[in-house]
Amino acid sequence: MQTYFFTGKGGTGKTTISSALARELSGVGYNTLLVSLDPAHNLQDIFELEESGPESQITENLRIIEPDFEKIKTEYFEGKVKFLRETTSHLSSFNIENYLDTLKYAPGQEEYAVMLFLRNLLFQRNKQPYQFIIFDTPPTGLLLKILSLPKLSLQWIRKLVELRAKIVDRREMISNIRNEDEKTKYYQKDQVLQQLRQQENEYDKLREFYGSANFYIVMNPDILVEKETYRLKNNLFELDFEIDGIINNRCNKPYTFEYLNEKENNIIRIGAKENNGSRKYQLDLNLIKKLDISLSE
Amino acid sequence: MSTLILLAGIAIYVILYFTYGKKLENTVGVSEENETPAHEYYDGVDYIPAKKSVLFGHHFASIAGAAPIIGPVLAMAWGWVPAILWVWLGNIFMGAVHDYLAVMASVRYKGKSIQFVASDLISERTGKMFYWLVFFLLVLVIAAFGAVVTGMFINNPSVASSYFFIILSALLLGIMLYRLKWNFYLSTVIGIGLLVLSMVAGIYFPINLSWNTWIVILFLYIIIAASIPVNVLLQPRDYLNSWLLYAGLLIGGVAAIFSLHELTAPAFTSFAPIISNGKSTPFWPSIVLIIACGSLSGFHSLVGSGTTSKQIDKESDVLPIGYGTMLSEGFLSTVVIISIAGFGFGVLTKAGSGLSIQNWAQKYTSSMMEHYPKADMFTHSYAAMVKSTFLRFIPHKVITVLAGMWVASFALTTLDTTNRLARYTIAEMASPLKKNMRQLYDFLTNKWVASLIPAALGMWLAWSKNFTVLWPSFSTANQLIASIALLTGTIWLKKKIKTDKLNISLIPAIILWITVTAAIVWFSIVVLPATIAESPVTGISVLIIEIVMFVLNILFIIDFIKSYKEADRNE
Amino acid sequence: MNNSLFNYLKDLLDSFDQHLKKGATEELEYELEEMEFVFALLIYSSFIGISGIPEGVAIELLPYMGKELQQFEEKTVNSDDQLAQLFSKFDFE
Repeated sequence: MQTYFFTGKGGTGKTTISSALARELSGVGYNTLLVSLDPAHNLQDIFELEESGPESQITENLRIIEPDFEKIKTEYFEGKVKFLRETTSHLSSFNIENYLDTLKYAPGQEEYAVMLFLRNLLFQRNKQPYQFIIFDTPPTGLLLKILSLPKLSLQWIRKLVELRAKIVDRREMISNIRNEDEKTKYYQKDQVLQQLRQQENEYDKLREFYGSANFYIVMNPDILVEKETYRLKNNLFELDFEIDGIINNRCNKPYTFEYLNEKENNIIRIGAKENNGSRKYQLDLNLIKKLDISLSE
Repeated sequence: MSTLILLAGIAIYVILYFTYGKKLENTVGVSEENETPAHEYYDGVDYIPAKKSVLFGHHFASIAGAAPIIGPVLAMAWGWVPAILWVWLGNIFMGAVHDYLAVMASVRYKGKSIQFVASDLISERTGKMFYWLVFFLLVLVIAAFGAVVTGMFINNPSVASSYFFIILSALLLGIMLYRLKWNFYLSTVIGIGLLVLSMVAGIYFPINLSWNTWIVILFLYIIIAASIPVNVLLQPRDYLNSWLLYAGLLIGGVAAIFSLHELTAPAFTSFAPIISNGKSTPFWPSIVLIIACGSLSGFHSLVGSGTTSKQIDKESDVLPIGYGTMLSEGFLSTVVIISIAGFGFGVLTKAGSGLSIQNWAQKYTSSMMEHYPKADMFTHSYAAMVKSTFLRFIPHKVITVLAGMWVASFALTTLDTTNRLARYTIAEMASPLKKNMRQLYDFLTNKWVASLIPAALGMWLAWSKNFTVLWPSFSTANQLIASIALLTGTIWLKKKIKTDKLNISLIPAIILWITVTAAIVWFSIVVLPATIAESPVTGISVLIIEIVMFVLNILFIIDFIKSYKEADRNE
Repeated sequence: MNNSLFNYLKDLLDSFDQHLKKGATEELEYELEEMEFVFALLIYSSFIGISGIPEGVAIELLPYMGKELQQFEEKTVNSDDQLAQLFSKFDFE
């Protein structure tokens, strides 16, 4: 299975390109999934869909998903609150639920909702027979938050595991001596450590997934866009992401690069096709060849 | 004769425990129906009712240590009668009342500390004062006990090496109990075996080092011991220590009862023999500075209103645990006094001192410091006392090492604990700096800086070897805290219990306050100038501390009187 | 008569046993409490944006930390009254 992420400044044509590639691949018979990670979805416009649900089967080989991130987030929190009520019902003065309730409606949770969606997608990956998954990504700010989440989380998880292991160690020392004691009865098998390790596992898997994916930045032949692209490339590099190519979209004549080095980067030119008057989105861009995608049969 | 005195002491303590103790309980209004914080605020961690006997043992172990031994050694200069009267009467009417009220007030205050109670009932300033006094206490205790340990190690190289082997034993015990998680009883037995081996090994392999070397080693020890995880050294070492305490108490108690020896030391020598830095030391007010624990000790109020009060099961338990433990410590001091009164003279004569009954007032302190400085007087008297009974089958050298270990071990426990306490105290003292002098605040509260300051100051003072000055200075800080605590207990009775039967607390409290204040003045005017002349740094440092404490003391009594009058008006 | 003497001795021995065990674990417990407090503080404070732990990480742990967080809340009540606690938990003498 191959994965593609199309990133870049807003308005450069990411959605067009990712949709075009999805069309092409499904057109030559590959089972393809196109996902929009942008909370401001616009795949519906491109595929000219009526008001439909988050998932639509366009052709036999092409499925598109525009997740309802708000719903994902709300359902997640509600699930947690329910679970918490059940497990902590015996505690009298405990009201952490109130905190969770406020979090449910707090802004700035999108990256977490996206991560929940991706985790779920990965989990189901073995059941789904997709050969290609293509991601249209949100604007740079949110994208970077999404991509940095695993690394940041792992850093904290490792620190917490370290501290927790010390705690468990000392609890074992104490309960070995005072095993009938009322106080030590509460030292049960430590589920917190287990949970932390489980999270570590999941985030590691997510990092692996990102690591095996192909990342492209879409730009236009414009000096400001090029500068932004250059910055984005560096930001991604700092998060340990290497890009596989830069797509210079709507580039009809040769363009001189100021910031990016043509030789060091894999630059792919895509011209704006003759429009012949129609306002339909150009989805015939011969991307499989231009991106040098290796197909197996 | 010695046995008679011991039995008299036991009788006095027991009778007054039941009579005077009852009076205390009636004044407070102890009732089975009042729910203690251990039940009302039960949380399974700090607030958890403990069995009376367990809590008794625990609280007693917390307050017992080296001080009830060292004080009486110095106090012998007055003769054994004044010393023992202070240990009996001072304890019963002042010290144990102080301990009792601290615990009781805390119990009735949801388990909050005596510091909190003082802050609430007297003034916030008084509450904050505790941090300063505790800080001085910590620095001076490092100085005093540092000197004790160093002196002990130099005079008894066997004790030094025994201690070294005990550290190794503690490390091993730590591994057995906490890493390998062996059976608790098995490990205990092995630990005790290692303890005995350490003492024997110490006798055969004594370590001889100079004063300066020991000071440096102790300084490093303090810093390191407080920085490693407690299961490595501190916890197993403290556990082994408790067995030393039991052995020392048991053997000492039995020997004291069966020794039947004449008390050869003089009963009474003079009102003001030479004790502190070669000066005539008047019994009043300085007895409070010489014998602290064993009769009256300020930090007990903190121990009692810390974890102890939160674990009291019923209000009636406070009598044995608050009042009773202090009397027990008094018993310990009684045993010490008897052993020195009975055997000390013989020990000093054997060492070749020119001491006699006639020149005792002038010469006791100097002979003691010359031949058996500080606590060694105790170890040798103790050993002689044991030897005089049927217990003489235990080799004399072993008993000497045991007694030396007892004192050194407790003194060292104090030394490494002070670090942790100091870090907290300094952070609290520095908190006003947080807003305006952030950098200074960060510097002072840095983990290493906060550890180094008291350790360095204390060991620097210990270097001066001037034990007869360091010991009373440590006591001034301790007894100032006691004075505040006892007056807080009094105000608590007045404002919260709303009783007019205050005398049981008010009279000893006032006497105590006047005594401690007079003692500080006497000490600063009579003793310290000589100290400044000999070792200026020590003298001036101690003088500065004394002056600051004196000022705090005055501020406190002003706040107390204000609070007392306010309570009068409201009635 | 014999029975009650026996019971009394048994009770005494049991108390001594408890006392010993407490003596062998008290400082460990204090260190443990400090660590548990820090851990709970990290988790708790992530919800108000202080500790920087991503909420997702902390939320997953909540269901298993009920008792600990409750104790944390209770401990903060006495967090400004620690001087006496320190003197009792650590062997000053």
